[in-house]
Amino acid sequence: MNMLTFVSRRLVAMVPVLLGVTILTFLLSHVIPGDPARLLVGQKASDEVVKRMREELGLNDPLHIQYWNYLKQLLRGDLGMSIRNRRPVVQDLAERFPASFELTFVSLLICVIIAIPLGILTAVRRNHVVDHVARVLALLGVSTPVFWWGLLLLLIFYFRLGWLPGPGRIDLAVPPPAGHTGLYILDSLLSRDWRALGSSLRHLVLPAFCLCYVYLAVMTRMVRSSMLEVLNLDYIRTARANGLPERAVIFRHALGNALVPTVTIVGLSFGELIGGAILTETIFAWPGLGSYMVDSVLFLDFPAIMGCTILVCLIYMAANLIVDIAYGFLDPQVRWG
Amino acid sequence: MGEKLLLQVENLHTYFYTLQGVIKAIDGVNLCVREGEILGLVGESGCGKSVTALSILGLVPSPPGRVEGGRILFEGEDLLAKTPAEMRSIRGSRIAMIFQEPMSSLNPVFRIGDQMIEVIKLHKKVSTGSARIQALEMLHEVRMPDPEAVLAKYPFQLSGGMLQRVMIAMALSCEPSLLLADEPTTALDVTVQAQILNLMKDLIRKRNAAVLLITHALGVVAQTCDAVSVMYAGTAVESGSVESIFRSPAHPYTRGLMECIPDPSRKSGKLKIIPGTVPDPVNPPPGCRFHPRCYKATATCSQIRPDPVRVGPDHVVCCHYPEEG
Ligand SMILES: Nc1ncnc2c1ncn2[C@@H]1O[C@H](COP(=O)(O)OP(=O)(O)OP(=O)(O)O)[C@@H](O)[C@H]1O
Ligand code: SF4
Ligand SMILES: [Mg+2]
Repeated sequence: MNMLTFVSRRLVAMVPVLLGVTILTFLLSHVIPGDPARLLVGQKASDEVVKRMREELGLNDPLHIQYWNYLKQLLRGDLGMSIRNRRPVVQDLAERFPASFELTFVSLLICVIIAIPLGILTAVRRNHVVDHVARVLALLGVSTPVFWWGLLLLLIFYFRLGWLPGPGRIDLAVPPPAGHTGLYILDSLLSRDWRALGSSLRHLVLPAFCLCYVYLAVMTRMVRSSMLEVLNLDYIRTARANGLPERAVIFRHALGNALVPTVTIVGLSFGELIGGAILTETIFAWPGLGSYMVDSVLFLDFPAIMGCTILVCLIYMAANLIVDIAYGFLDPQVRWG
Repeated sequence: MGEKLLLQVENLHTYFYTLQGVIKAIDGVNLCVREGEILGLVGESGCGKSVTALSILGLVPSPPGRVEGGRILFEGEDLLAKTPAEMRSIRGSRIAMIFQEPMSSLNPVFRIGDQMIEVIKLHKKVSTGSARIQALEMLHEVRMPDPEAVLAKYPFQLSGGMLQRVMIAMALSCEPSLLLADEPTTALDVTVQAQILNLMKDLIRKRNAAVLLITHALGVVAQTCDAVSVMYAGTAVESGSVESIFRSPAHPYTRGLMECIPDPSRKSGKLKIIPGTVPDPVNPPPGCRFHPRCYKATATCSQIRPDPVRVGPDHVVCCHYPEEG
């Protein structure tokens, strides 16, 4: 089986899941208390207006027809109007998504860059000083709440030392870089806007660290334990019996196999963080999906909540697909079997 | 077969420091392998056969294990005095090892060819191209069908027997003078076992290499080996030529082992077993370690550890009251 059929099979397998999610969000909009038409036209509108709105929205049709219409609407890329600001939800999401994506990506990148070497080091030097220090830091990481870290970082590096900027994605005085992706780093690189690049990078540091700390702890321990497990396997003994230097044993023979569980964690973390970095986004006033979702919930903005749900779900599935493809690269048995 | 000693293990001690206590896995083992000789190392499970082989290669997992004493002379050099780098250059080139589980002994994510070529390049310092040619030749020699295709395969695409052929090819690719084979056929189908053993024997004889063949099957020893060493609970209890040991086993334990071999000609149907159990490696019995199970044990046996005594031209036994005839 080649990679293409592998990927297309996985894509086909996603269709039922997606349908399930749309049914869920659709039903959600029907079990909520309150009348969507009323919400849309506002409290002061007359009953006549509400009735017309109901007609217009098709709320009097049978449920399955309504679902069908909803699905058609979704396929056109229409997620409805936000109740809160009367803008298409798609437009809101398109603005919010790149912010979340950039933050999550950078944060997990930092995480991976630190966690993999540290995990290897603590595995190879297990029960030595590095291992103990890393263990304490990891414990600290998983047992301290994110908002505490966020506030502490802001307090030290922004208020006290002034080394790094505070809330937001970019300095107010700096115009956002021109470009289509909405990813400030990418856009500023493409348009050679070094000022915007510097500013947005500096803005990323604190939230990215704050977001990655917990995952860093988990991932380091994970790399360590899977490394230790792999180093005990028969083929590692064979590699050593063949006289391979320890460097080759660890990096060529053990690492690839030891990273398989880590790839899963990275993939799932990505899905989790992109819509779930609520505390970090709130503390750092980061205009991402997490804070958008919180606002939507507070405003009972159902089209927005549903839109977010579907988007996050799509991202989660995409992350899973990428994990599966990575498996294919790491493990020939998945690719060929 | 030369008379020159290739490997000499003297009074080897290898301990494991575990939470349960110190496991004296090897507690004073003596062995010697002559050039070109196939020495069988037999004994019950847990008696320390694998740890002996790993000690020779310097691969005892550490922690918790450590070689605590003794000498391992290989081609006149003391392996225990070597630096890690010196040991690495010996492993895979002058001493090679194959293991019990062919299915898990090769890296699942690399092709067979890449794994063979890696080792050949490492020790022979040749180009990838010529390493590949040598890998192909080796696969031919182990009578692998379609070697060219096998090079491109992943381990999970081959059967256990085929993988063990690959392991043999890999082990012999750098012309070692000693091969440590740790139960190389135990995990294989009965029909394949004899094939693999014969193949190994052929290739070894052709190269005039020596083998330390670890097994718990005396039948395998009788068919394959020139000499045999019997281990019991971390000690070597008897060693000698296959002929002399099978003709006149001098240690009660060896005798017991032989009586355990199912004999199709005997119709009694009852298999004899040695009464008692293997001693606890943390607190081994004092004196002769076999005394709690030995039918001839005396007060001396439970107090004084028997020294090796010569009972034949090259037949040595560690027992106060060796059997005669
Ligand atoms: N990594 C280890 N940690 C602790 N103890 C060990 C370790 N490896 C081996 N031992 C101990 O050393 C002793 C000898 O083990 P060894 O594997 O050499 O036995 P063996 O003769 O090869 O048995 P088998 O026929 O089952 O392979 C056993 O008591 C075992 O518990
Ligand atoms: S020394 Fe004694 S106990 Fe040990 S094997 Fe010989 S007779 Fe038996
Ligand atoms: Mg063993």
